[in-house]
Amino acid sequence: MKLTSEKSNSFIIISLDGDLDASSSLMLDSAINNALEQNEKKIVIDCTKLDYVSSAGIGVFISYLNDFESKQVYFALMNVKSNIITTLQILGLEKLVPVIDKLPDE
Amino acid sequence: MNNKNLLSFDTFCTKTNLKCIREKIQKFLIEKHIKDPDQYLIILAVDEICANSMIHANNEDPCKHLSVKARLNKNELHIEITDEGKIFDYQKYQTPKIDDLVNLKSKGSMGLMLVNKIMDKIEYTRQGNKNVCRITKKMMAA
Repeated sequence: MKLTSEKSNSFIIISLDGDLDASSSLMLDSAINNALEQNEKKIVIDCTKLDYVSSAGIGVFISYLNDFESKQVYFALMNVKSNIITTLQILGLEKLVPVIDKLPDE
Repeated sequence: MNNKNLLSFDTFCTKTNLKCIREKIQKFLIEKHIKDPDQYLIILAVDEICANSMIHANNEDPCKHLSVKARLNKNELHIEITDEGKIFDYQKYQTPKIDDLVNLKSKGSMGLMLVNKIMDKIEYTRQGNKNVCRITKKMMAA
């Protein structure tokens, strides 16, 4: 999996390309952790090129939900493919992990 | 060994091998005309079992073997994953609650939950010094 992180106005956009699995989930964990340490308040995971997510990847999102809430950080997954949406639904996470089609207004 | 209705291969307990396992399962499922979302979800179930075996039973020991077999028998898909790791007692497994995982900031524990929801049956047995996991799913006729 390839991961790139870039700033777009007030958003930090973490773009994932490929497969997010037990082998690659630490990359995402590190990127989110870095964003929080830098006190970013709007974190969006761009999933446009993300083909696959296992529970290891979903676990990274889950592990930060409390931090996002306590630090009042906006967090969302953007442009998520249908198979990944199905996986979130199977786990009952569709209401906990926000999914968007495009960046919201500033 | 490969024939029309059987896929069988061995690999090693290194997480970087997970993608190759997924690709082989995907090729098999495509040959059997199993399409998304079933195709994707079955690959996910196999990936979860293999990742658990590599990480928890075998401590990601790259010398340890992992064996994967898949066959489609009439309209029932059978997949068997065998590893040489420490015993896993499935009877003691309890499905976690998502709220608890969020509160505990847990990064794990969802793999078997997914497998249970995707597949119709999951069975773990110990054969000699090996863990054998068999997962089964009834498929719609192609």
